[in-house]
Amino acid sequence: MKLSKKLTGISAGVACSILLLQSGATLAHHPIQAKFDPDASISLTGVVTYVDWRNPHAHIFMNVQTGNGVENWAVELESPIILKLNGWSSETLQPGDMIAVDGITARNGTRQVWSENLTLTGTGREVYSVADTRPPLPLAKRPAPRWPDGQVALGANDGSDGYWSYPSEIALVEDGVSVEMDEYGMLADINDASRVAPMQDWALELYKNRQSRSLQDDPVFLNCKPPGGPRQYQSVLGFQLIEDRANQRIFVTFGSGNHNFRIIYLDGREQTGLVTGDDDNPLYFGRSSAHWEGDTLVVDTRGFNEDFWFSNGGLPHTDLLSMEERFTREDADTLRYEVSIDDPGAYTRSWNASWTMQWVGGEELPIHFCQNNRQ
Amino acid sequence: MRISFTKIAVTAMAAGLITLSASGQEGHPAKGSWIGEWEGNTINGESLLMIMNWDGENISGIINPGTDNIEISDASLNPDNWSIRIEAGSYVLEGEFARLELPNRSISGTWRNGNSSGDFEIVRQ
Repeated sequence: MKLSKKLTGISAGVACSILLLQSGATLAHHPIQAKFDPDASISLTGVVTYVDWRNPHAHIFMNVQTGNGVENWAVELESPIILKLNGWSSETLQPGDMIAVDGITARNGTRQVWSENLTLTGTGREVYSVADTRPPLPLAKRPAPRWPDGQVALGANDGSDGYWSYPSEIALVEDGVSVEMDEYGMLADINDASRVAPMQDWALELYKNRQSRSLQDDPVFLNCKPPGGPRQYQSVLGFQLIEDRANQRIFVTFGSGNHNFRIIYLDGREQTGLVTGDDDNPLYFGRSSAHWEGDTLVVDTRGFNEDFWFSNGGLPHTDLLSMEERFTREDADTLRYEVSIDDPGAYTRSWNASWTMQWVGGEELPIHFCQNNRQ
Repeated sequence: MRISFTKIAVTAMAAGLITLSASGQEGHPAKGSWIGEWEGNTINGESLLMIMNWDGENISGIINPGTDNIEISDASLNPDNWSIRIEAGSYVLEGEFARLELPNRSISGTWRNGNSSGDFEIVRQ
């Protein structure tokens, strides 16, 4: 029998956040702080009863002996996609295995733990650990691929697989501003909130409210909604730009958010939606019309609804939002994303943000259906 | 404050305004359609419907559209404590938001109209 629970202080929680920030090892599709309390550490030892290998997160169920009997605990892990990328499978652990888990417990008091370290007690081998799986860059930069007419290709143009991922910035922050955040957009110091973007008073207080609640109201977490707005390009599960040149459109498909897709039109249409015109009906992904400026795809998007958070970390927006996005494939392995945000409903002025993404060649976009495990 | 939500629901369904669940509304907290009651209102009845919009500078809207059509002449939100003051016709409503983080957030407080006053509560649909 072993069940030791130690509720640590704020200092441990801060240390944990810093550790996560430094390692970059936690890649959950939503903030673990939303469900689990980083200040409530726990250590468990017990027997595996079941392995539930499903998106959005795998779970190990274990029986833990206590003085009064047996408690069944659910141990939450990364998504099967991330675990597979790190070499693990649903059969890494088997019912009957004795394991030790160090982690943090659920905020709602149920017997759930987010695993920070899981070991087989018999061998001491750590399992289901994750690391940064970013592919190595080539020693020399490779030129961006081009179509026969010379136009740069935003994806693979030779029938091979590949997608964009590993954004250099994980949350939307105005260019030139440096604030410390974790990989989910949680500020290390809430006093930095007003520096993130030029928010109106109500938007700033709403942003702080979301931060103070550890982002647990994020529709991506609560309702399995896909990332919207610039957040589409800050997902750990990446995206593809699929060019349908014959029909003058680009499909943007997302590795997270249930494989939703967004269409960027290059046929000169205005943001009037369908041929019958429904531009008075705001949409989750807005309406995008684009053109090329040299090797840069310039996308004008407007007509957003207000059903989503448009950044990791919970920056607010309104249906007055319009964005100019600029996609530039600087070389075969680097895509620069620049966005100009104009939302007079939530911000005091227009502002800009930018980051780069890395090409992940030879792999299909991860298939991640959040609802798989949300009944 | 005691408000009959059975009465609210019946009224709302009759008006065709209720939906199975509130649509997501992650923008300005006041924006949207609100349904509830203002208790003890003998002039306009106890059912209270309110539409509020946000244009980036001002909250506008209307109370009981289609029947009373009381236009909101002035409204201000104090995000420090998430309180709101609404002036519409001869009415003044002062309330505070609850469940701010949810689409079906609510506003409750008091209404005044001349010598009449009472409590009100509205829930975003």
